[in-house]
Amino acid sequence: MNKTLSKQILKNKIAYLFIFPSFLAYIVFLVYPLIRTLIMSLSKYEVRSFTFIGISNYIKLFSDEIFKKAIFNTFLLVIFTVPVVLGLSILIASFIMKKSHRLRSFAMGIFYLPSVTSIVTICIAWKWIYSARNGIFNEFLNLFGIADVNWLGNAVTALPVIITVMAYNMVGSPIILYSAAMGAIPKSYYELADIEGATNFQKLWNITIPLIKPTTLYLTIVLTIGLFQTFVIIKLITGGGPYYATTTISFHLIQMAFLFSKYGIASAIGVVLLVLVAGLTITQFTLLSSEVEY
Amino acid sequence: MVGLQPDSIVRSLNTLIPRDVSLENFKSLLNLKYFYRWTFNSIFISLSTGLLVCFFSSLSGYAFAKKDFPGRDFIFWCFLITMAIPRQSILLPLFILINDLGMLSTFQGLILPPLAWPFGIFLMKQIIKTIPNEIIDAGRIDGASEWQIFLKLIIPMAKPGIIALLIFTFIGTYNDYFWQLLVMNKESMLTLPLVVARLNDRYDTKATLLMAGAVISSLPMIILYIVLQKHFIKGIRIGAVKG
Repeated sequence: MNKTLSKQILKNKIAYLFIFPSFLAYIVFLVYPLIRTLIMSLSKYEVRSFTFIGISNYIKLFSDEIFKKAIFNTFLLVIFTVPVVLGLSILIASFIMKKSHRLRSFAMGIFYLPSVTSIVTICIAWKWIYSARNGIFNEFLNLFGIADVNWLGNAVTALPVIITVMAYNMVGSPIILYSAAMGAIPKSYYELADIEGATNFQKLWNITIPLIKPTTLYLTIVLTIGLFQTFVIIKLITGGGPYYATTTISFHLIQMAFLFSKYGIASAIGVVLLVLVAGLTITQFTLLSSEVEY
Repeated sequence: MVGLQPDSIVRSLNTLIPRDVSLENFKSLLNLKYFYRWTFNSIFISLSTGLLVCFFSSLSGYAFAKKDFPGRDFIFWCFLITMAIPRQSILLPLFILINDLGMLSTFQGLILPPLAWPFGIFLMKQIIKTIPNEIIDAGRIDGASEWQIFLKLIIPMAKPGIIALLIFTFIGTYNDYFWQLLVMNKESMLTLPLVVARLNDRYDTKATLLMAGAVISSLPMIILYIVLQKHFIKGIRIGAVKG
């Protein structure tokens, strides 16, 4: 087709016009704050003014015991929650694969329910379940003669509690995505395995899991990014305690920013958080995508 | 899993083993001065955000999917990498910005920032990519303007995806306690999740009243979800296929 020059420019003008609103919001509400965070992390904030003080915020940060604990807690959270969520979703998805369509829809509906439930409601419910004095989890354990445990007030059990709540919250979309991925695997593979006498576990391990790797890669990255940003659940269930046992990097950031008004430090945490997440994402991508074809 | 919801409902009526089942808690909530205002706030904010996100994402998604212009891939890549930016990293300056613009405790303050998140753009790009080019070309040959092509051809054909995105965004925004907590302070501007959280904070709230509040604030979205489940699942699957 022979386009005149003016038509070409006009065509591009429309394209730029169409992406303009999104781009504007992107610049104002994403790029600008990002740059500002960087600048703020290198400054010290007084009431009305700020002074540029270089990397002294970062130095203060890395000698802060609470911050180091936050990093430790965050990594624990990610290292445990991601495999639990992936493992559970793969098991559940592969289980419902063989069932009827209606049961599959029902199961997906149930498991995705937490994602559409107000997070406040979820936290209230879980806080009550794990409650030391009349929580139903303790009442359930009492039936087996196990004494009440203070799940939320104990520095050892507090983080595992958060991990379970996160897992409960996060299995929804992985199950849906894995169901789709598993549905695309040709049944003939499994039939061949049946002929060779493979067990269910072998079928899962050698056929299913390798073939759903793209989904696993995507989920690992998305779940990690999401976990680093956990805040509400921690705030409403354990409040970051006891003794900072459930304080994560992002939780500490918000404490510093909105509780103590230490804007410089908070921004420095923000930068560290960003670098960590970006670095992890890139690492996960390169490590896990080596055998994946798109 | 599902036990959580019935438990809350049961607790809100009375005790775990209902002795006197009563709707008293629900009634007292409904009688709160601002209850209907809060409900309106939640719905209005979520609906506005949903509609705006759908509109802008469709515009951008169409441009990225069907148009070839200088810098297209680079700009798209710019949008893509923001998915890895943790919310908290930009939170403080964003909050200060909203404050400086005088948008604290306003509808705009809550509705505008989410427009920057490019998830909707990715979704719409995937959807619109599947629209056959021939149809668009035919429209152009017929002399339709770009706007007409967008409004009369693209949007109707992308409707399933748009609806999925709308529902997704609506429910997501409605439940976004975190952002609401930061922006909304005035009592008349609160949203339902905020109200329930405040009930939770106060030491003198009966557990049953709290559960009633939790149920009221989350039930609408759950019902909406159950009714529209198909669209949800579709949206999740399309959103996971990166352009």
